[in-house]
Amino acid sequence: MNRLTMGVWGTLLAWMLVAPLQADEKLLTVRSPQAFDLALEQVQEVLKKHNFTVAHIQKCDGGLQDMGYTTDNYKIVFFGRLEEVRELSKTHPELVPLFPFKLAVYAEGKDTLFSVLNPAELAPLLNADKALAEQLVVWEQDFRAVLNDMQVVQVAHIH
Amino acid sequence: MKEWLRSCLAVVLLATVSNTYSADGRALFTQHCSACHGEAGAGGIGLPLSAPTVMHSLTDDYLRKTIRSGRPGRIMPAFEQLTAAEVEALVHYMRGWGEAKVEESVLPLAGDAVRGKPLFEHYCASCHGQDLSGGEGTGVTFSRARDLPIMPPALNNAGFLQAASDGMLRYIIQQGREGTPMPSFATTLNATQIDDIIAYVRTRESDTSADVSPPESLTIMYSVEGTFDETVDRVREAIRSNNFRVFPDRFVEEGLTDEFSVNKRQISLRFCNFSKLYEALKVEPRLGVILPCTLTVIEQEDGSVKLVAANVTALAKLFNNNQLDEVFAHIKASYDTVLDEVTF
Repeated sequence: MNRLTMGVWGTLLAWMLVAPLQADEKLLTVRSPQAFDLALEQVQEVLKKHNFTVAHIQKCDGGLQDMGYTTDNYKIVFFGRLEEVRELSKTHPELVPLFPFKLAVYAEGKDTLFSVLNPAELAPLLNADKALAEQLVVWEQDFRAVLNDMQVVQVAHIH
Repeated sequence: MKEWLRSCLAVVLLATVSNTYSADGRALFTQHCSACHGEAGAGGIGLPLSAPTVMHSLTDDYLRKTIRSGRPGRIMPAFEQLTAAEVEALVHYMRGWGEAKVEESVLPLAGDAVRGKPLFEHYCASCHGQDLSGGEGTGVTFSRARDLPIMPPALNNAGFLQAASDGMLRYIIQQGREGTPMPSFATTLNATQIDDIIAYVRTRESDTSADVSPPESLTIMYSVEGTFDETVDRVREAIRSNNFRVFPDRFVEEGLTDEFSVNKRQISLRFCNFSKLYEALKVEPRLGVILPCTLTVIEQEDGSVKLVAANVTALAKLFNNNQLDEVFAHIKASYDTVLDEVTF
């Protein structure tokens, strides 16, 4: 083993020892200081960038207001990837209630919040086999990337 | 080999030291806390931490323990995965919003819980509840009307009671929190009475023993008799007859592809009880991640028909919010009624 190899292994070992662990979060939530309408528009673009299709948007706020309740903006963005939905609803029909995925977008004062279920945390509840568990982790990474992008946008708007 | 070990050890030590001192409290707060507590700690789902009178009343030890253990059943998660350095960085960052004015002493006070009970019921229960479970919901909300601008915390929460010292509780009762609904009782209650109330609160810690039952499946799939179309009609009728607001049916793939390619043998029947939804959103704004109530009918390639539903009991456990228990119990009863009508 030469010094370079030893150095690489040493660095890897060090990273494994000190790298912060990913949070154990069943729901992923981020905040954006963007106004609701702008944030809702932005998140659809970000989902598209990550190869998701927005299937439709449900207006919870409209439904509540129609029934006489007072509420600020509250929408649910349904999104997914056709190939994944089509394939997994065949191999794992028990997943169908999760499709399309649901992203809650809601106003909190001047800010907008985004919440989504963390797919990787659902693995034990779905008796996930290895392939499904891997897919759930991939979705978690994709969802985190979408939410992170919304936070990057947030920084861009602050400055 | 010795040289290799020395190199590894040096790299590990260097990385550890670097990690300890590079923990950026502001970045950590943005990453882990701002979604609920607001970007500048102004509050939201969580308490407005940056209000000076709030920080004056919180000790560093309380902040550390709260970050580590969270609030079982009250949304705030336990951040067990953070390193000690990261927790310290967070506490240091939050301390920038106001110094602690409470002595760190954790010596228990010698109050009398029996004497404290009527005092609590007279002075505290109107906000914190007779059962000490706090207000409906958490933190503040700007989205829906609520009784108070900041919801009173659950004093019986094990996470709260284990984090808060008697000295801290005494300070909060004496000083109150200006800018929040918590008044000062400095001229209303004497020191002995305050200690008695604290002793009573200490006796009311709620049971938060871990649920050791095996996790239930997130979804439930039923084989049903009859054709796909007959099943869809039966489910739709059962939903309507149970007084739900029914939304238009949607194909599972609808919107993900064009109308000619969509699989029309997978239909989601969606419904809602807006009264319950409104109540639930007041205590859990993240609820949209599982909305609306849906029953899905699918025809498989072999022609068999399945009815697939979310398992409400399993869904309820995703939120760490026991204020949703009543709503979820209602939703479960409704699902069960509809499913019974369709599957038997």
